[in-house]
Amino acid sequence: MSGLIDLEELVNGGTSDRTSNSRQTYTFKDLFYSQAPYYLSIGMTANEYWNEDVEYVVHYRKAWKIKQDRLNQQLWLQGMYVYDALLDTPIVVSGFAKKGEEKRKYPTEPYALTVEQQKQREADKERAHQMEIKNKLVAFASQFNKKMRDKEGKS
Amino acid sequence: MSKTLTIKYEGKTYLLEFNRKTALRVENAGFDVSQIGTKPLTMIPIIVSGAFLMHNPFIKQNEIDTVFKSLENKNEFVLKLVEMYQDAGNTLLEQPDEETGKNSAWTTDW
Repeated sequence: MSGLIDLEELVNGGTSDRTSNSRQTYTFKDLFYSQAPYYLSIGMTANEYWNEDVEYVVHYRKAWKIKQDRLNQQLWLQGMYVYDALLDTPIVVSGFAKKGEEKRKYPTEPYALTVEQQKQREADKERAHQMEIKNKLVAFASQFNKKMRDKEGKS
Repeated sequence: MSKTLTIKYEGKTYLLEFNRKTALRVENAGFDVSQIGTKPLTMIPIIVSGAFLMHNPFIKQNEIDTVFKSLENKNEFVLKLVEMYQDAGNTLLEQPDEETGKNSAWTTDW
């Protein structure tokens, strides 16, 4: 093996570009340098790209797709709010509202996007409804008791 | 995790791996995977030395030679190194399973 390879050249990065000079082929050099800007643009550092685990690029690509999906979801949601607000505008301003038309208010909270959020909202709504009934009952009972006490006091 | 290869020789452990920088150095040193069959005496030493570079940057050539000479099943060893080397480029090419979760199956008859 000895004498066949210049290790110094390997260690120092090698200056000769024999492969790409001798033949017009698509080399690793071309591939690495052409892809580097893309990976740097999606958050990979130059050190990670050149010196670290070669599999990192796969993780960065997948992470980028997730980020894009999330951004897309956020933009869609923002558009939805704007769309809703625009739809509500004539009614809110009421000058354009038809007679007897109820004013629609802007949502007090973001839309529930997941099934879990939807269930949580429904549970909260149910709890609030039960509290309302309970409060009404308590109010009715205290009023009833007061009336009864007044009646007893008179008689 | 990328593919790595470990050699244990005389109480020392050598971890062999390629990153893009060392893969590029191997290529700049003249390695051409298509010539490994026709010029094995030129190509094999380059890829073997290159595989040591990432984790053993200051290793001497004669130490690499000694370790390589001691290895059994050298053909398989070199094929594994080529596979590791090619991964440096292959990982940059998007695989179909990243999109659909399914790849087409393929088989060999040897």
